[in-house]
Amino acid sequence: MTTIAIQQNKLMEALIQADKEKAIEIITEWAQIHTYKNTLISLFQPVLDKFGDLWYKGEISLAQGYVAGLIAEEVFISASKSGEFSKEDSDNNKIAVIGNAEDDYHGLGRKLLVIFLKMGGWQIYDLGNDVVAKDFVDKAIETGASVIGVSAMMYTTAHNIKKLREEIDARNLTGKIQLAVGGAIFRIRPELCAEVGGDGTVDNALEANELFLKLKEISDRYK
Amino acid sequence: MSKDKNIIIVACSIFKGELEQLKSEGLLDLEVIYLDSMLHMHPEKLEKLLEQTLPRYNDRKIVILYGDCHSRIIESETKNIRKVEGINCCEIFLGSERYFKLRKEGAFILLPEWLERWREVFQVELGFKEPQIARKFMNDFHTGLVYIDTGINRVPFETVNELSSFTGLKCRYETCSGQNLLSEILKTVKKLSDD
Repeated sequence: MTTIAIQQNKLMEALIQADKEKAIEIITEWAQIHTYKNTLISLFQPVLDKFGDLWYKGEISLAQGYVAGLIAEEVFISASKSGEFSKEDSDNNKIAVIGNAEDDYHGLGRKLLVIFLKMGGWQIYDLGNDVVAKDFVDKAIETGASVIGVSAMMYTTAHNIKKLREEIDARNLTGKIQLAVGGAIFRIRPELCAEVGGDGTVDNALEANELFLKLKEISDRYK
Repeated sequence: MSKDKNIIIVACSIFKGELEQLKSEGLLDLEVIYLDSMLHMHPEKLEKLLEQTLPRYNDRKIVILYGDCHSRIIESETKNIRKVEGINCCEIFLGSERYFKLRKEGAFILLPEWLERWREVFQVELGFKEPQIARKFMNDFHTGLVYIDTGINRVPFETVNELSSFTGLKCRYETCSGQNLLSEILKTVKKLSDD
C-alpha cells in the first residue's frame, strides 16, 4: 500500500470515528510536507468522496456528517491562510446566495453546503433559515450572484421553492440567476427538482461545487 | 365530542398520552392505532409501515395524525384518507403561529413522549455518543430548549436537566393544552365526513 493510501485510510477512520482532532492532525502533517494544494487534491478530496458514498448509502450518522463538516471548515481556513492560493483560485466571480426555503429550519445541510462551496472557491452569502423568495433574489441582485442555492428537508417546505422560481422569472432573471435545490427530500425524490422549478440538484453537499460550476457556466451565457 | 365508528385515527405514538387524555375526558371517541414515534428517524420504514397499515382499514375513513414525516405522506391522501394539517408534531400540538414563533427564536422543542427517549434519539439514532459534539451541534442551530407541558404528566425536571447538560442549552417551560390537537383532528374528521 502506498504512503498516500495509508494516510487516506487513517483519515477515513478518523472521519468515521468523528475524531476531529485526529483528522486535522493527519491533514495538517501531510500539508506541511506536501502543501495544502496537494493535500486537498490527493488526500482530503478522495476521502471525502468515499465518505460521501457512505453518506448516500445511509451509513453515516448525523453526528459523523456534522463533524466532517467541521473538519472541512477548519482545513479550509488553514488552507486559506497558507498563502498557497492566489486570488484567481478563490475568486473568479464565483458568487452564490444560500439559504433554507421558507418555513424550513433544518440548517445542517446548508451549513455543510457553505463549507464545501467555500472550499471550492465560492464567495457565499448565507441568508440562514426560513428565507422568503424576495430576500433570496434581492441578495442575488445586490451581490451579482449567478446561483441561488436553496435547501429544504421536507416535501412541504420544498414546495415553497416554487415561489422563488416565480420571483426569479417575474423579475426577468430566468437563466441569468440559476436555481440549485437540495436537501433530504430531493435525494429521495429527485423529480421534485423540476416540479419546484430548480435548475439542478445533487445528492449531498460534497457534490455541490461541481453543480454550481455547471450552473454558473449556464448563467454566464445569459450575461 | 367526535364519535364516528366509521372513522379511525392512525397516529404517531408521540400523541398517545394526550389523545388518551382527550378520550378519557370524553372529547374524542375515535379508535386510534398508534405507530412507534421512533419511526420519525427512519422515514422509509414509516412509509412502508403506513403502506401496510392503511389498507387494513380500507372499509373505514382514516385520519392520518402525522406531520410531513416521510417523503410521500401527503400523497397518501384519498377521498377516505386525510392527513391533519401541520408540518410536524410540534406544529400540530402548538398551532402554526406559536410553532413558527418558537422556531424563529431558535427553540428546540421538547414534547413529553420524545423527551423520555432523548438518549435513544441523540446517542443511538443521531450518533452523538459524547456531549462535546452534541453541544457544538445544538448551539450551532438552536438558542435554547423549550419543554411543552401538555398537562398529562408531572414535568420530568430531572430528564430535562440531563438533556440540558448534554446539549449545553438552557430549558424553559411552556404549557399547551390538547385543544389545538383536538381541533386539527376534528377539522380533518369534518373533511372526511363532507367528502
